Amino acid sequence: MKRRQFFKSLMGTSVLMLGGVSAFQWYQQSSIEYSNHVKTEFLTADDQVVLSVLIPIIAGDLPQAPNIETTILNVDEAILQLPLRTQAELRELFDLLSTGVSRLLLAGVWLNWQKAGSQHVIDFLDDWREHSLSLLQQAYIGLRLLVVGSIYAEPDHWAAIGYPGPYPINQ
Amino acid sequence: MTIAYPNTFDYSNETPATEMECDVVIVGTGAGGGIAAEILSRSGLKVVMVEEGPLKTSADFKMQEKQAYADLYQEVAGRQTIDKSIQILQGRCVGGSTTVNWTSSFRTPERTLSYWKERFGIKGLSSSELKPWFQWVEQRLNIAPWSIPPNQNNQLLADGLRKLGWEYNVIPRNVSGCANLGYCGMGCPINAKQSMLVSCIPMALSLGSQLIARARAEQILVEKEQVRGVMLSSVDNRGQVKQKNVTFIRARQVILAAGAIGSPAILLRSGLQKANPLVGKRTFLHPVTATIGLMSEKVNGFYGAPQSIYSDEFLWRDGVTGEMGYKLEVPPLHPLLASTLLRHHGEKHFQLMQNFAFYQANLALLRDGFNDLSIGGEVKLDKYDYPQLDYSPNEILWRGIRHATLSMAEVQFAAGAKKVIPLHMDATFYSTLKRARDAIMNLPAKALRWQIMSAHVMGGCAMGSDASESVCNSKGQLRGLDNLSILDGSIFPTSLGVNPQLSIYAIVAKLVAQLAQKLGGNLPQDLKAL
Repeated sequence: MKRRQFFKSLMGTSVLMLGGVSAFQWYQQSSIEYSNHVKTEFLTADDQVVLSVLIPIIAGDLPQAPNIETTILNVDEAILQLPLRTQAELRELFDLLSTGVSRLLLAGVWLNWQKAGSQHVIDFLDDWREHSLSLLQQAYIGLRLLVVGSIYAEPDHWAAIGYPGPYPINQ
Repeated sequence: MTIAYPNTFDYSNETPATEMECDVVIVGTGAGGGIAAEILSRSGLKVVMVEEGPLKTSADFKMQEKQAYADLYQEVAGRQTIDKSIQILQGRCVGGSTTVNWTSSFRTPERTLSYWKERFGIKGLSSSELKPWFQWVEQRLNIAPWSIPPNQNNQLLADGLRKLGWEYNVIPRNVSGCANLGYCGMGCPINAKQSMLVSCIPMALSLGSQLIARARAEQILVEKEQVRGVMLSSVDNRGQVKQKNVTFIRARQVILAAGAIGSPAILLRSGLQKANPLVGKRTFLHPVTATIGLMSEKVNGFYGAPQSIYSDEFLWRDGVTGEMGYKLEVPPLHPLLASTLLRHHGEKHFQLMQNFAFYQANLALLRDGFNDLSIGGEVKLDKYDYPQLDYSPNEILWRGIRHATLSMAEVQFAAGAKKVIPLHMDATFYSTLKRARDAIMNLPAKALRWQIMSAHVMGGCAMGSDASESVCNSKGQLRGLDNLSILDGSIFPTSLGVNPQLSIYAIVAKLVAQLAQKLGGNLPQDLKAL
């Protein structure tokens, strides 16, 4: 099976596994979308929506919530420095996350997350992290690495982890 | 102090010349290329150095991970093997990995060199033959055991080892006027680290050598069984190829020193694996596994010389060719890299990050390539002609990783850790040594789950006396092409068992001094005497 088909069938399964709430219900509610798009070269507007959902959830209880735009810009810049092979893999991953059923899944969760908690997205990340298929583990590892690295790259979050930053030096 | 870099071009923003001519073109400016450039230019030869990465200097080094990883490392410090099970830290800038390494400088172990001689028939590189070259490099780069007390991260490694009665020692470092900042991995902001960037490369440039930054060696041109030169592509400031085949550098001699992924890649792009089928094979990594201990007081593993204590207690634990031995050291801890290594998300991730300043980390680097079952990896080209490394962790490696993880946890508890977590996706913090042992014995030996890192890529163009087992001879000369030399860590037939920079410096110095004479150069007095 081709990598892309493989991803697609798995995304379908993930949606089914959530159960109870139909994708269509989410779709009908999804009038609100992330609108503060920033200028990116690799990430599309749809990718930005996906990241705007994932960033706060991956960040967890950081006292200062990560700035979504800054984090997205960091992710974009990092991807642009990767080899074309890796960029192509990430393109597939983001396309799957940001279109079709997966888009509905994530958009729906995003809509309801303030009220119902972020549990659906957390479950989705947990599922990929623990998945028996290494391709999904790889997707989790790669996506999480980009996001978490783009968050902790910023001095905003250093005080919360007891990192004072580099010594000031006089050159 | 400002260091001058005359005769330098940057292909990300300058119009390339269509043709250049020199005696020797050196591809890569890391440990091998830098030393080679100094010795050849001091011998009066006209040298052009080619570097894929940018020329960044102390004025650019701001001790910020975000900037440093993007500017100075291959693939934003996230280079991975094909199955994504191993993350590789490798420099990509003028000075190569020497610009970003943690300064540990060990001579090649005698046992490694003896094994190379006996098993691969390598000539001229015994401990006694290399001794004067080690001494020369140690003096040139101010290498000496670190005389300042270790930072807490290293001190705790020493404490644990001492309590257990396991051997340890102080690491020699290539620094001069080091302020003990702790940011070697982001480029030394005060030029204390004696990397190629501040030593051999400016020396070669001051003698009239030229340097082209942001240029990738696309392929080597061969005519009538002689190498004619190298074709370069220009690269933009994100490391992507801008324009292919823009400059041809005509040279009497080509030296590949692009590292153990880059050098085989150039040979593969040039079709030279047809005559040398072992090109890119037997690539070694010193696979690294790590554990984190939570201490009751702040460790602040981000400050102070990153590596100053090591232990060889287990380096030869089952002899040279038995089960994989390992060297114990520590890594520095900085927030971006640490956050990516703690493979969780949400609440769990932040809980782990909250104690960041209280963490002490140990690492074990495993000596791969000495056992018949430890076969290493293979460099291949992807459809974009870009190199990728296929390296699948196998049973003998997992056994070594498990053994090393047990040892590291034991050291951490002996040093007073309240709890210890191995870098494994199925591990949690264990609060007693017994619990840690029981858990580590049962952690699944699976790619991706058990996190593996590498900062030392070696092999892929192995030296040797048997043509069916090697890519080049003991002088680093590619078989079948006597004016093409490979002078970097890729000529090692196995890994080393020590951080590689000093081995590369000394071995390349010896080989390139012979080459300088062969090319009619006048070797300077200090080298002639060796």
